[in-house]
Amino acid sequence: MAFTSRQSLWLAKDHLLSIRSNRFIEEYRRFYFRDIQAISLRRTFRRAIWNLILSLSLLVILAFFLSGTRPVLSINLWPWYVLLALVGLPLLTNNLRGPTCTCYIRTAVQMEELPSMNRVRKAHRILERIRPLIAEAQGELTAEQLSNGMKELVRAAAEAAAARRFVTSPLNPS
Amino acid sequence: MALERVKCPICRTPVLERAINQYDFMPCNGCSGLFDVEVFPALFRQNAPAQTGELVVVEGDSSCFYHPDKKAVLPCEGCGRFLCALCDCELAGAHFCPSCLETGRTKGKIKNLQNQRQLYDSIALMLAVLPVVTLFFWFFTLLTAPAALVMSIVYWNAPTSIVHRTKIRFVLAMICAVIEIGAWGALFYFLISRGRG
Repeated sequence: MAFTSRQSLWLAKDHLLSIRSNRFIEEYRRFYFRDIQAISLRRTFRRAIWNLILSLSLLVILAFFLSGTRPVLSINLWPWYVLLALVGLPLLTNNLRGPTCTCYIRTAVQMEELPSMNRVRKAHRILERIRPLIAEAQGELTAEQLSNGMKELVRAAAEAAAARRFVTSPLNPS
Repeated sequence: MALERVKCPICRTPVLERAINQYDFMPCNGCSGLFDVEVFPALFRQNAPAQTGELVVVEGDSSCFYHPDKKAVLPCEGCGRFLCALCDCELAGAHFCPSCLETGRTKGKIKNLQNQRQLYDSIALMLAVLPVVTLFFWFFTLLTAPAALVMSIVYWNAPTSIVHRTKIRFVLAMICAVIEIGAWGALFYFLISRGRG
């Protein structure tokens, strides 16, 4: 992912449009509501890592800033204030935006990451919004359907594994 | 990926039923990472067998343009040719023949098939502004300013982003380019008039 790249997610009438842009070229991926099989969110440590980096930087800057005998509030110290803001504001924003996650969307033919859904709160907000649209396109999934469906998937997986074993067994074992 | 279980995206361990649709983060059995999986009915949907098209049985029935022995079910919304069930390609509620679909994809006529676009407005703006912003490369504006102006005029009507976007970047690029060209003109005029004097 290039430094200048941007990702965004857009809601269309019957699909989600994921846009990846490097500012000169935009790439589009569409996920139709009728085709979405699953959406997974996975918690990541990205917020903690950024907190560590930014906190250490802030501490170093504060140590240098407070080490002198000059007064803390002075208009002449504006470069220090700018430096503190450059580190402090991202640290504040990183915490205000909440825990981080990665989001994966699965259809019958692909499993794609949605980089724009990178915060848990935001991802849940988006899911709240698209859940009724998916239900409208596919219908509601009851607990019984889920249970039966999962059993069917387990059975299909076992059959596929058995078929693989059959195909890969030696023709004439001696 | 027909009828395949939902797996942890990191360790590929199949997700257990009790961890699905809980609307909360649950630990993965394989890697212990926290994840929240929501599944939808499409996961359990078996793919319907492909339609092959019904044969023409009564003389005088409309037949498919591409398969004369097959019964037409609808016309293509691109070219109007009659299509059988086999040739019918549905896209966002519209029905096209394979030929129109291919033309729409290559020529960018069908918006839903486009998966990439050039942002000429951003390129023009960058050409006009970047050499000035970087300070050291301001002399490149001798080339980039006319290029930005030409690009803004040539691609004024070209499609930009697929999502709503105004022409403001083109306008700003043109304004910057005209100012830069004017500045170069003034500099050359000054140098020439000074050389003569």
